[in-house]
Amino acid sequence: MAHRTRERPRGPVAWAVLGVSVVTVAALLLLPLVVVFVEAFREGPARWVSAVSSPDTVSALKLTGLVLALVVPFHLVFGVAAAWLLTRYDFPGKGIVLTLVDLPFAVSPVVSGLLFVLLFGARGFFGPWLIDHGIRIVYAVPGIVLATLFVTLPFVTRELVPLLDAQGREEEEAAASLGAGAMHILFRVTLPRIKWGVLYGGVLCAARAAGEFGAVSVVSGQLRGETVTLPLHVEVRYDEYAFVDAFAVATLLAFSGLATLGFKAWLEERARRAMRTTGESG
Amino acid sequence: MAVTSVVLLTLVAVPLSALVLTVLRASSDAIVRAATDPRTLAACALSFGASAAAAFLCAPLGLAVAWSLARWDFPGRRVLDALIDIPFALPTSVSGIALTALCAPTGWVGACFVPLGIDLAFTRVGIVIALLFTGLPFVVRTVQPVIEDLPRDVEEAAASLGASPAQAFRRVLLPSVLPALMTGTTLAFARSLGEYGSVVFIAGNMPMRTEVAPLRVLAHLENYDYVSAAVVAVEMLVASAGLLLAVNLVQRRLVHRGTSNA
Amino acid sequence: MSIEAVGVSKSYGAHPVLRDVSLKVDDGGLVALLGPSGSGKTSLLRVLAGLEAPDAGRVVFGGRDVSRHGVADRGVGFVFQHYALFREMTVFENVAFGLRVKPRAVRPSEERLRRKVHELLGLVQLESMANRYPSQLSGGQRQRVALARALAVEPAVLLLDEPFGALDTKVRRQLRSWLRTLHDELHVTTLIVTHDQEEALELADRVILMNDGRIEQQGSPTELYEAPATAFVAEFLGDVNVIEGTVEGDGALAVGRWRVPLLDAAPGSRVRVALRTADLELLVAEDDDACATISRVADLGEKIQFEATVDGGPTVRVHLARRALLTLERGARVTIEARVQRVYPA
Repeated sequence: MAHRTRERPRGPVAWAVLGVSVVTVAALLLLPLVVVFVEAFREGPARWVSAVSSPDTVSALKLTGLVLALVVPFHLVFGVAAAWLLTRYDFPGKGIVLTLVDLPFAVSPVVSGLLFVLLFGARGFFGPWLIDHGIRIVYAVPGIVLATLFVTLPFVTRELVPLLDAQGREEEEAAASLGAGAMHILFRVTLPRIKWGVLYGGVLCAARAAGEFGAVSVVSGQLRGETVTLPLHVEVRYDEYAFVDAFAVATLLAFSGLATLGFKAWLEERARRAMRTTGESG
Repeated sequence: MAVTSVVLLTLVAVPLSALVLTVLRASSDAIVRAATDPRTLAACALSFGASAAAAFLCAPLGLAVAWSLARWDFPGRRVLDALIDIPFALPTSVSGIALTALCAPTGWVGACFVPLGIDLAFTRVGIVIALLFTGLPFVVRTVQPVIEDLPRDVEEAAASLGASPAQAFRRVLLPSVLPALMTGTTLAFARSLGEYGSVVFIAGNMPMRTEVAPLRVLAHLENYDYVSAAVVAVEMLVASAGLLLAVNLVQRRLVHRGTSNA
Repeated sequence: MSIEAVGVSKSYGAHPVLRDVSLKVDDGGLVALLGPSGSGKTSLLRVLAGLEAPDAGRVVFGGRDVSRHGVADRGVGFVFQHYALFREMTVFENVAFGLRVKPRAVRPSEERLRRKVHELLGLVQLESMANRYPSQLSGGQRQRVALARALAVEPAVLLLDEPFGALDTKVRRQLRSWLRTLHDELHVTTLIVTHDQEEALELADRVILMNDGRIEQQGSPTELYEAPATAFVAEFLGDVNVIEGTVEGDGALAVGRWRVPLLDAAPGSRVRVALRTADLELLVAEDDDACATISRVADLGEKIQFEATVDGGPTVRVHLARRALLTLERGARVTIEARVQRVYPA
């Protein structure tokens, strides 16, 4: 049966449901976004510029950039490897691997952060040893990176598993029958076909890595200029009653969030077009 | 294979076992004390109650939004669709301060409720609003594709047999959407239980009244009381895991028959 | 109750699917709407049911104009190609649905409802399946449930949209003859849409052949087969060879070396001739008389298909009874004779 076409809403019930939906989304989801920009520019653009260019903001921006630079490439590689493993091989304990990959989604961000404090905190399992050797993980940059790695773990894999599943093995088997090695197949056959999925998973991962607040706030210790990421900086300034500064920094994060949404919409439009053209030729 | 296993072990399995080991190594006294601490109990009860309230509000609202997006063509539909993902796209600290600014007595929304004598910010109502914000996209994004895939002929069959639109919705369409609606609502519920960033700013965090469970974890950590923090974390994990399991069981009963698209 | 469409037109966007269609199905009749896909037959059925609103024209049931009634108020039983069963309900509840949604005043009591549903399940031979879910049934069983469900509300007319299209050939044959028997028992006015000519010719009292949003011809199966009104009808029904050319002075059409004498064609006119494979005869001939060579022989079971390539012309397919196999082989030289021919302007 052909895909249903959307109709104009008809009848009072339909209009009422649509009205409730629009009001809900506008009041609950859109207003908070609008208020971020209104509050940020409350005292004019010059104030906004000085807020986002203050030394603290710049150092938070740098730290967030560093976290991104470490976390995203790591997960791109890991995500492709894990998805490949999960879809191309059968092995005992596959269910466990899937659960472990999914787990960070199910755990509260605060608990995610806690896990690393329990491991590396002063009274944690490796705490005493780390102190003896003068290594700081928790309340320092390594802790922030670890906690971010944890919470962003599922994104790329989750994106790729259904793609690789849907794609099937035929082309890879064809390549193998022609004598191609595993690496050759991965780079010449598989990756080119899932590149958009990899990109999308990477963008989702980056968005979450840049915006993670709960887990990072547990392991950060909030040393100004040292362990404060952008989302944490928002909190710091807010708690200091520097509301305009807090919202100005928030606009930076909101921009990157909106860019992510835009990218998602663009990718979906692309996919829809691709489907339409293949649908017509078929 | 080796890479994947090593990463999963060091990044997920080892940290999780740290949580379990911390609890196991602690004296039973300390565990009981932490688990029955009245402030923690109040926080857990609040988290659970507020999450439940938010989830039950999310279900009908999310269904309405998903239905509108999936079934109707209206100006601005694409924009509305894109807006659903805002809570996924904004860092929780940003949504937290934004919701607080909106709901404060001087804020756009909060001001409307002042004449009614209702405070939104720094109350439990505020917590539920924040959880509605984070939960809604889970319901919409789970239900929307199911509504889009509802076969048109089934609806037409109901109509040709004399069913009114309301009867067709209640007897034929809703049963098809129900499993997804339950899944989405549970996801929103589970997410709410552990929600921290969007809640802390609007909650006010008054002990025994507006303090949520994740905040207790942080409070214990500040006192270097790792055991108590771990106990609260385990309580939260058990609650959300139990919830997901329960829904899975109910679902399996509901869908055992609808496996093929008859 | 009789069904009537009067001047019905409908288009999707700029694309017309029904162009001023009028038809009438008499009370108690079983009529097939036949046509290639895209001919508008399903759209016409949906307009009659009230599932689709026409841009122009009227729908009349039993002399009463029902154009303004929605599908729920027309009292039609509609059977969908993909069954459209309610998958969250048992077979019993599927059949009972139409009774349960009746207004309270006319809703039958639970006991009468049970009796009625079981009676219908008996009619479609599925009584033992009452508590199964649709996903636990085969395709043929599902379609029988769908039919029982449609009959439960005692519809004045039964509309079936390619009801057997998703089933395999054997089940389709069984259901076809079963439906015919059922109709002879119940006498519900029935209109069935199909693209399968065998189905239409076997099942229906009358066949309406549609093409490109219009009715090409309507009549009994025999009328359509024996006297096709247009080239389209002639070419759509049966297995046909089509040849085109200009009529020569002696009233014959020359195709390569093959000369087809035409009965009443004006010399010099362009014509299109439809020759059924079963209406052609092959005769072994000597070199000078022969006009074609057998290029392929295929055993189709009840008949043999020969492909005869005309010298300097096209290849023509001929179906002969089994015994012919013995005398004609690949490479044999033959003449082709047409017993029946239908000539249309090209």
